[in-house]
Amino acid sequence: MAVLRGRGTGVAKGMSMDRRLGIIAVLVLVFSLSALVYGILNMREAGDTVTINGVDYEWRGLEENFTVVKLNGHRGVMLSDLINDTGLEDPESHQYAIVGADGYRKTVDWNDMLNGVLKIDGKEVYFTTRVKQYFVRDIVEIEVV
Amino acid sequence: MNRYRMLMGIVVFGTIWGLLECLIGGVPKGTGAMAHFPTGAFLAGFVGVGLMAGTRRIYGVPGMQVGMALVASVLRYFAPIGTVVICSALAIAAEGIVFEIILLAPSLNLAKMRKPVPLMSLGVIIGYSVYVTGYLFTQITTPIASGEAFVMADFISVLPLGLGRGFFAAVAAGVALPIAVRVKNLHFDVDRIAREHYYPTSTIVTAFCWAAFVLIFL
Repeated sequence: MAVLRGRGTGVAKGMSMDRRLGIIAVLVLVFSLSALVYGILNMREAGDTVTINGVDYEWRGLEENFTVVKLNGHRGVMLSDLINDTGLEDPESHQYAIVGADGYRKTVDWNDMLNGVLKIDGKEVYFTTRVKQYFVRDIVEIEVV
Repeated sequence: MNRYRMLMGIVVFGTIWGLLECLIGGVPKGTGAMAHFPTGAFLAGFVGVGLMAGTRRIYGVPGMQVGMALVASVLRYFAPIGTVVICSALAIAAEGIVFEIILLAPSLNLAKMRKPVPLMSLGVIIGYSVYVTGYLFTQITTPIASGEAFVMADFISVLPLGLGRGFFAAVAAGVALPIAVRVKNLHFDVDRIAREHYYPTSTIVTAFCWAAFVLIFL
């Protein structure tokens, strides 16, 4: 906070508070814009497939190959069915990281996978057991942790 | 400033803020360019900072904005859009606290700042701080508040997102704060409004917002 103290405080002789504010604001804008560009450059494309436990699944084929259910009005494929299809042994002993195209990532456990769907419309997840922050969008991968 | 007038102001402006958060924040993400519209950054930077700066200028009472944020977060928490929105409610509460902390600096007196460029600069600083703090704060507290474990890898992965999206909040607040501060130029003096007008008008606005909230969300 001392850096924001202005004229007359004895701390900031030589540079007015207005100029200090301007410099800090420019630094904030440059820093945040850099972070934004970094995020855009590192964004993965939410393409035609989603990788689940290292296995690629085509979004279009999910409805044909798996049972589609509705959880609280959210239509999709059970996440537990998808994990089981990858051949993972002992799935309840693992955690699962849902990763979005922008790098947003949320880790859930097997109980959530039993109570969650992968929504084909919107390429997002919905859990009855989790709050909105966990509903990752534009999913590119589900990692087994 | 009369204590009851200030309390009424907290309720009125906190309610307006909360209703706007529910209405705008509850809009489903669209497709195309709208899918990437930074709603959270706009709400924090333009609506949140705008209302807090405007009320700070009008009432001139430090601490009032935390109260507004708490009222707004209560409304946001009880808006059942899709699911429990505890993260948004926590973010709003954190935004109010950060705003107050920054304006603790004695030289940052909105009543004495006249030039637009310093006001814009201050808006950028406050908007970014408010949004990023709120965003990161909820990434930590929401899992804990909802009875889940906090996962450090998840937090690290969202850091660049929060820091980058803060750019939009900074720009929005850089526009909103100078406009909000100039509200006082309209000679809108709360102390001079007759109590026969102030309290009934405030009550009507609050009641209207709550009624709209109940009709739309409950």
